[in-house]
Amino acid sequence: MFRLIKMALALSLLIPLVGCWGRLELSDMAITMGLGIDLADGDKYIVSIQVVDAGEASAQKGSLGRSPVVLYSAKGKTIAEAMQRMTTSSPRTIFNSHLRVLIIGEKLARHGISEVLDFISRDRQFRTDFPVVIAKNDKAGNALKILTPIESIPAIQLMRALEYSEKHWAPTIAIHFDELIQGLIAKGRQPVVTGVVMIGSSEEGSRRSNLQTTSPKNRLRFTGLSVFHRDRLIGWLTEEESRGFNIAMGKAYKGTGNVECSDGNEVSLEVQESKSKLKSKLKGDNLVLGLDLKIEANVEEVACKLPMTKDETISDLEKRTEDTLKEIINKTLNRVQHDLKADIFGFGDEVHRKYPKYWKKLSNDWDTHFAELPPVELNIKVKIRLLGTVTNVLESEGSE
Amino acid sequence: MQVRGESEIMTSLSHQDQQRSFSLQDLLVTHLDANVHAIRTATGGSCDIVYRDLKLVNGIRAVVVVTDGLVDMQQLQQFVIDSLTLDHTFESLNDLPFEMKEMPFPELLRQSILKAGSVEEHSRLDQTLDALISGLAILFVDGFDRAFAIDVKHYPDRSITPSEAETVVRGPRDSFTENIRTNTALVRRRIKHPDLRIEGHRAGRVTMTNLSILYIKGIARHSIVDEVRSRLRRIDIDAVLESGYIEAMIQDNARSTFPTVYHTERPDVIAAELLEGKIAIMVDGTPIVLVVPALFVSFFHSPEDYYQRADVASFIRLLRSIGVFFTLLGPSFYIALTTFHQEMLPTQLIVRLISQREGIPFPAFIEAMLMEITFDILREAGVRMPKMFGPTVSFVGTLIIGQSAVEAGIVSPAMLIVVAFTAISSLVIPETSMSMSLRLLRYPLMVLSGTFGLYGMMAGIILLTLHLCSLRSFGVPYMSPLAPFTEEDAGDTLIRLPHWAAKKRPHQLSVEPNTRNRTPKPHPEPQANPNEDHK
Repeated sequence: MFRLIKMALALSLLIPLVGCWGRLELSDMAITMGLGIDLADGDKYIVSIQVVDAGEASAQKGSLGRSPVVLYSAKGKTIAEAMQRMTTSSPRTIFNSHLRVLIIGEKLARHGISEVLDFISRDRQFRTDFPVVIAKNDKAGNALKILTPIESIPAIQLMRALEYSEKHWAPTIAIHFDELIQGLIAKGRQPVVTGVVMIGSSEEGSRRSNLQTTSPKNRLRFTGLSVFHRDRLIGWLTEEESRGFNIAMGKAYKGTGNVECSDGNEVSLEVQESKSKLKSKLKGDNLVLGLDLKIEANVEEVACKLPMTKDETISDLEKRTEDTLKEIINKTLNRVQHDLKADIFGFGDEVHRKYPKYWKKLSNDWDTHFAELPPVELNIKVKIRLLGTVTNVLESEGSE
Repeated sequence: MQVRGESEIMTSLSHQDQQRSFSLQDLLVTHLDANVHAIRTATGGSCDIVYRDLKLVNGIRAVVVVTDGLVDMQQLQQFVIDSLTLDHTFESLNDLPFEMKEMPFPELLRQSILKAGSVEEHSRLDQTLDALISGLAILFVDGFDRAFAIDVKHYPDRSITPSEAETVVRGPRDSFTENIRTNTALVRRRIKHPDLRIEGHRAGRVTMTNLSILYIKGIARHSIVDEVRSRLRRIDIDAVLESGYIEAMIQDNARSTFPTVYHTERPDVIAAELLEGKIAIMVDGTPIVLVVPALFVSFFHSPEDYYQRADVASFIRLLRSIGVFFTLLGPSFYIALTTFHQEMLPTQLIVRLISQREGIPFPAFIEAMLMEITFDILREAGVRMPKMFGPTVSFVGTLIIGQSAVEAGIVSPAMLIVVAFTAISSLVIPETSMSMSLRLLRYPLMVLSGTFGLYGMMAGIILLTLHLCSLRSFGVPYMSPLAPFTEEDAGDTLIRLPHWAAKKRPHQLSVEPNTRNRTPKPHPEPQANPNEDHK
């Protein structure tokens, strides 16, 4: 008997150890796929969530013609308040753990996003693995309205498209929530965020009829990167500049670029491997920044009529590629350093690591210093590895 | 000899037997009729006790008493009655050498006239009765205060059939029968060594069931054998109808759902267990033989594991352990994930699951309980029903309960998959009592995960593990050789090492030295002398 009481007591100790008791049936949940936050007049937030209509999104026996997602919007002084207000229109508990994309309206981005980031990182439901994008010249709520083909849930489509183009298209890069937070905290680096633009109108894009053509007129497309200073958006990079940024950061894996060869035609190269390293050197009291970049690439497409099997052609091509890259990266560096005055590369972190004492003097207004430094020294090495399954251009091979 | 009525004997059987044993311990007397009467009274004139009056060749009266059905009538005729009555016996009696003529008649009977294989003499009534109802023919001779018990036994018996509950693809097909002697013979045939000991015991005041303890001297530990003997001696029950009675009374922990006694109906398993130092207990009247000490891991081993290649067997054992986990945790894991930890599911999956659960009226926990109970009822019905109802039950079970329940929107297809997979998983556990035990424990785990999610489930698992580690079977830790871990014995647990690598018997069970195998590791060798064949 005593043993039994002891056991019961020991077992009852397990109960206070329980954390949050969040029992929720699947059929009582509304899963948030996309979250859009905009700034309304009077310092109010408009929060829009894209919620899956699960019955419609994964209908097996023919759909009912409803939209696969529903958009709820609410206004609030804080984001939390707006989220709470959402319950007045949502029949189910809003569940945020499966968020696939966070869209921030440009107006809010220019105003400052620290409150948004605070709310999301404080809430226990949110993960940190979703990409963040900025709706360029637009409201986030509008971007979330658009229905998409293939992936019936637009937020998933957006995330997939971003991840895919990050791999194969040099100008885009997916910035996930945790990376954004890190960029925001770091003193020696400023964050960048992917931008998305709307093509067509969001009103028409929100209808199912938008999907009934082979080329939906109203859709979203990724564009260049937005540059932040602390939590505020201060400018946009063009696609070319974004490409320069990605190449310089060694993130251009599988990206393709064109190089002009000596006869004026173009050769396409695909990056197979790229390694970049930031450098800093203190000469007396003068800081010199540098960037080492090593790229290995394969030939994708050849339009010039040169003998590709010859070593000289290849080394000439490598040289030309290096020059082209140098030009691209320099353009980006120039823009960032002198125009936007934001160190998105993280040179500051590099200086911090290498000259911690010297860094202390700079850390408070690093970006001003950065703008005044001499241009970054580029050191680029390109190696061409494979020529593909044919060697010379088909035309010239036939004539031999 | 006191004469008593039938009812009197019946009551005395059910009471504290003092009166009965008192009178039954009487000695036999020289008067034939008195002895026969005593038997008649003691059996209450049961109609299957047959009395045959004889007049022996030398004029002496005798009576043969047999239990009809338990003796081979032909053998009785040939070896007992013929020998006692035929003329040639009379003639040969006269032709006997002098010294044999001088022998007392009963001695002559036993040594030279009765031609059966075994003849014993009993002087007490209870011994005689015991022999009679065990199927021996009892011969009373007038003027002689002893009874001859002549072995012409022939039990109603069935032939050796393939095992139905424990099937193998590769391996022997025979299984035990209800006859304990057939069963010991099946084991003897596999272990032809004088050190295989078979000890006879009895249990059951009324049924007086024969038990046999089997062990191999020099392999099994004396301490464990002694423990088995003393636990069997402790049993004081009126009936032992199946080995389950014995199992319940000799097991270590009466409160645990985990079996601490292993049972099987396969002689090859018994042989293998004896050779590891375990002890088998056979019970007359059932093909199920008990094995002690039982270790947790051995409930998940099939005899086929040892007959197959070691790599295949190890793979199958790993599959089995996955099955074990799913049997125990399948529904609880599903409940915990879908009602508490939705963030742990992949997004596409959760959207699918939600769409399946649209309009399901019950919470996942109730839904799971409903389906699990339905499945257990179906399974029980499948075992219990007469064979001709089979198609009906499977039709109703699969079609109505499965498909229609989903179509009617009462249960979700995902839940059905989980329950079905759990059901199939529970069948990969080769031993039924362990699989039943795990099926039973599934319910409390479902309750725990339905109230506390994964936290509750983990608490349940931890409690179960603690409980398992506290169990012992005949002094041997239940979880050994995993906990306490013995490296030499671990080769036959979750995986199985090849036979050439298993050098020792289990440490916990067998006496030292316990080397069982000295075979070197096989390796490819060139043909010894290829030219020899051409000569």
